[in-house]
Amino acid sequence: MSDELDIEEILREVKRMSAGSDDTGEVQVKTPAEPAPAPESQAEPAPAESPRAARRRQEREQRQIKKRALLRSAPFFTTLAIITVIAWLLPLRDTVSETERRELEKFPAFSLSSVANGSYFSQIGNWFADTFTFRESWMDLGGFVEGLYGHSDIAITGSVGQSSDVIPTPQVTAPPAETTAPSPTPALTEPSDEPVTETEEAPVETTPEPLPSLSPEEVLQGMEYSADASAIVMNGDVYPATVFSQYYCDLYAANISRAAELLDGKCRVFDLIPLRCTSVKLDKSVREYMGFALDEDVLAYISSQLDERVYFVDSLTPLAAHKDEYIYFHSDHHWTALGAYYAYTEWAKEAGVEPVSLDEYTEGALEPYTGTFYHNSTKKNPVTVDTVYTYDPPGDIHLYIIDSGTGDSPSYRGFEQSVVTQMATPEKYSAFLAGDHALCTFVNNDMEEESACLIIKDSYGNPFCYYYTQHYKYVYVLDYRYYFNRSLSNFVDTYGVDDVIFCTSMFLVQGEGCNSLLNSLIR
Amino acid sequence: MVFSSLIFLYAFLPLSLLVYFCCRTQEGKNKSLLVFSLIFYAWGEPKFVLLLLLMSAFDWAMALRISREKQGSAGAKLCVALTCLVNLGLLIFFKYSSMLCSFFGDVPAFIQKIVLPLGISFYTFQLLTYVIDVYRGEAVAEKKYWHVLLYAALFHQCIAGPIVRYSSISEELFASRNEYADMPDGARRFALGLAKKVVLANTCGKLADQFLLADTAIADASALVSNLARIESTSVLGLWMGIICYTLQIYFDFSAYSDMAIGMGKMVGLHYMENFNFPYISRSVTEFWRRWHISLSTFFRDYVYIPLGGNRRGFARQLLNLFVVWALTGLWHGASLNFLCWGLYYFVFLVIEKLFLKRVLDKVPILSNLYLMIIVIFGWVLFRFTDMSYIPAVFKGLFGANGNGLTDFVSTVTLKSNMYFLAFSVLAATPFFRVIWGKIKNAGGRSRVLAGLFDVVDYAVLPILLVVISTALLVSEKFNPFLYFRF
Repeated sequence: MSDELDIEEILREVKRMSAGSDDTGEVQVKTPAEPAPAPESQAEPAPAESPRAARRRQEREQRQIKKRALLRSAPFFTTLAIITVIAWLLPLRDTVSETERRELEKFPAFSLSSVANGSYFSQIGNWFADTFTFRESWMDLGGFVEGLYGHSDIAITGSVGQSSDVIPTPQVTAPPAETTAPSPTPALTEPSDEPVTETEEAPVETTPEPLPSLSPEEVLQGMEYSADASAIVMNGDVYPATVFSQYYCDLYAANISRAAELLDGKCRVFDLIPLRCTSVKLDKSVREYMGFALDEDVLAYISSQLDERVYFVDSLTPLAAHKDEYIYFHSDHHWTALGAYYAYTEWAKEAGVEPVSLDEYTEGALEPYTGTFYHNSTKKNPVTVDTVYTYDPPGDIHLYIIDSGTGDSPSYRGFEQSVVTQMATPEKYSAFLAGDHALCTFVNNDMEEESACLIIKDSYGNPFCYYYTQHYKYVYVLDYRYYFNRSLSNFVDTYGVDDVIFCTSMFLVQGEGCNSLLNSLIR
Repeated sequence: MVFSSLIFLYAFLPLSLLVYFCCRTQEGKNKSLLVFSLIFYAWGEPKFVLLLLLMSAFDWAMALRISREKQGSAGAKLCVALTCLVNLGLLIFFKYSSMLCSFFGDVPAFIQKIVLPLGISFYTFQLLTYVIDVYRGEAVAEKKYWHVLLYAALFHQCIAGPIVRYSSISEELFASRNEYADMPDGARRFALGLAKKVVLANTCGKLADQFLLADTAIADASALVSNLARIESTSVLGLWMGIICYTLQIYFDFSAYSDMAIGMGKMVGLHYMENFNFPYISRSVTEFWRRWHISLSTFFRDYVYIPLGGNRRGFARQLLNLFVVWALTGLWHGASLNFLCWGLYYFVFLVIEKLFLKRVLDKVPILSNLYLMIIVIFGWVLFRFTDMSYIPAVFKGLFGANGNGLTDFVSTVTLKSNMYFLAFSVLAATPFFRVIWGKIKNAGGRSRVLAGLFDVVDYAVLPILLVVISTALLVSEKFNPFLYFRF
């Protein structure tokens, strides 16, 4: 029925179109030169035309209209078709993004419930978009287009300028004002008041009392820089925003003070808080203008809240003195091994030992390295690619590693790993300690004296701990995010630790995860 | 699935067009449209397809019933009343239960769990126009159920408009349509709409969120204190940039959706109502509402205002009618007090204009444009903050009363990195480019070569460029909300 199109109707329609009665569209532009004036010729047919001829002519005109329409639509539909075909060349799709350093979305597993609530379909949509064929090239093009939006040597990512607490002046001797927990209210476990069992000074085998272990999700929540971290990109460097939360600083100071109290008379407790490059490399006035919390004030505040038995190591001054050297990565939130070295020299001053010169170490270089911030790189504001310099300490040194879930004891130190790992993968920062592990132990066989230190750290501690091999026979490097085997006092007693050094970055100090994990460790 | 998603562009749309054009008869084509529409709807809301099917079935049966009654008879009246009751009852249940309960104390848990079915505000109104038009004798009752379902579910406009009246589309949809005449314009319109959404609306949206909090942040009552502190510490420039970007975003976003719907309609010979006509160049609130979301204001005019008596029953009654229409317009946008305020805010200005202001405004061109834009921009502040506790802080901040500087680091850098984009966006919200392009074409005169060249730009260069750029930006970013999905 409807196969035989009513020609009269169509022509009426065409006439209506070309008369412009439909041209109310806001983006339509009338084409002035309208070829094929079919309706006019139809309005005044040649007098001698037979009905049959007229019909043939109409059909011809109809075909012409269709041909012209298809010709004009062809570019759009062809583009759509070509990209569709490319998009469905599934083997060409990536599964991992090297620049963003993450796994791309996967095709969802089928389940009736996910179909019913619609998540199955939305995940298919996410998978389709996230693994789009040639995504890197598309993203380059997208970056190019976005570069045309404006003109600035500085790029901002995330929501820089979040309100921080006002940093109280530490000189005030009055107890700090009651601070409120930021929402969501953190579920803190109170430190237990049970007296710690006194054991002999000499290292003995003790049964570990496993700490309340947390699920991996809980542990990793807020434990590393998220990809969306607020930052400023300038001259090839990424400067993450700094914030201050009095609530968390108080919690942190209380944790460290408790450690000093717990280990009073057994060992010294040092506290060194690695800062982000922002605080070290940018002038105070610039940071004030950017609305960033000033870490020099935050450090002063924390140190004012610490128990006086804690040896507080200034992590800002020694690094700021060398701020033009390669002490922070351009594309990553970590400091370099050189930056860590300057922090160590400050520790040495505080501990009363002579720092060993870097010339004694064997330098190595791993490149190229693109860190966690590299995804902020755009065509307009590119982030500089890094080189990871490693410093292999002198002496007969061995490194042993234990992962979460494996028990540790002085007789079992885990598997041996080369002191510096030559990373073939893009994650070159893992050259230090082969990445984050629950417990790493350096043993320096050249050392006569049975001395030991314990470094409680996050990933900033990875290049930092190497320098301690020159001062202690045993350097225990405990990552509080992965280690749940023993409590701090049990560890100190078991391994005969002489000095404890906390090396937790300022970013994590300002958060929930670090403080609740330290809280459960320090007992 | 949203139109501006990669899976729609490179899976759903090509497949649906392929199947459509493989069908030989119009009935076959319509059936393919129906199948794809149901898939499209189920993709987002698998469960609520049933609601759409049932509502369409009910309205189909009621319309048939009405057509058998004598026009204006008690039976017909009863049926149309019942239809309105059921349709609006369902809309109220899904959309407003929680708000209504909150007036009378705590909202029960089962009410809090109610999810707004996708597009219910749009297809309920569409179905209502069908039954009411049949009742009024302006449309013929459809015998086939699937025809009514196709009308309500058609994926082009089912979930975000334009609200298409049954009588305006039934002939093209079911009798006959010319599929080819407007296909190139449809394709071009779709490409323009896509780029408007992906390039302009999404970028404006990101900037607006940066200064005026994201939707999720506004809805999060537990973060009120810290979010409020953030608004209060934003510089004057930041807040202005935020609200201007939001003003642009909401226009680009919604009109882009209409562009894409209209474009896809034209690709297959269906002509939907124009929904936006450069609202921001208006010179009065009265004019603004003739240019903004035309299909919605037309609906309220034809199905609420005029049936209530319009302006024919004296000024007091007209005032009441206007009040009802604007309260409803406000509430239609969301079940929250701020939307009601936003609607009534326009009611106040419309009445003032009717009384005397319109005559004054007509005489002062530039000033009237300024007047309208200020009203509209402040109106969007009401519209954006579903939690009204933010509104005083925003207004104070816009006038520098929060004690912040005029500019700060973040706002200065953001302005510099987006200045060309913002200038372009402001122009794109006016007919500027359309006029310039028209002038260039006219200057070409009767030259066939130039006409061919302009054709190449219009139908090849522009669509290809826009589709490629939009795809690149869609791959690069995940920020892609459609504002009007909430309504």
